Amino acid sequence: MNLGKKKRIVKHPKIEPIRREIPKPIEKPIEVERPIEVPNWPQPAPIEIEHEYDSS
Amino acid sequence: MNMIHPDPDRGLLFKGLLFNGTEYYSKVAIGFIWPNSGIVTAYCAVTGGHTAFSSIGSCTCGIYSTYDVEYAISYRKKGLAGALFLLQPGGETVYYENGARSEMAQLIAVVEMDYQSLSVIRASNFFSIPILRVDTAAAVVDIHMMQLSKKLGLGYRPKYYSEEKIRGFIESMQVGG
Repeated sequence: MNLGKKKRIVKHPKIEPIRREIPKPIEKPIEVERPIEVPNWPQPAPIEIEHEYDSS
Repeated sequence: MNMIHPDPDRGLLFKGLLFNGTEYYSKVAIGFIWPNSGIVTAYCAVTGGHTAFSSIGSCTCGIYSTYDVEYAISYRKKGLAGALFLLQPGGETVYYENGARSEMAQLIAVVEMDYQSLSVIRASNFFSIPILRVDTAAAVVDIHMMQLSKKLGLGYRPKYYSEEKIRGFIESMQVGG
């Protein structure tokens, strides 16, 4: 780029970027759905059914 | 409404940049990327930095920009710029007849040539800056530089380009939006 004759040197202040404050996220406990824990009940014993066999 | 708020104590000039699909850069310094803050600081590839920017004898480092809209439009014609912007220099700045070379720069507006093309809207969104019509931008630069020239003694010569004349530059250079 041909800028032509030099006119003057100026010391401008440096450019400061504008700080954009990012809002902090609100701390909120995260609710996580947990599976319902089912107690380990003792398994019922198998029912014994007495069959009547025809022994004749 | 598109409003710009240029700092009255800094220059106001045109700058052309290219877009590579993800970033804006200058054709003459391809590796020099403009971040979306629109603020850049020049660095010297030879010395790795300047302690006295403009006082180095044959130093040609810096962000180059021009007052002259005709010159800026011709830059597009040559393929050296895809989008035109208005910028303000910062830090050490050397003012010349046709423009300036500065240590820092900040983009403050996108200049639309014919209509709000996609490239103009994209640039406006990328840098979060307003869009100005080319004839408005030329008038704003002229008035701004006349006022600054009075303060700083820059010897700025106003261009007084009319809208018709600017349209003439664009048409003669066959620059699309």
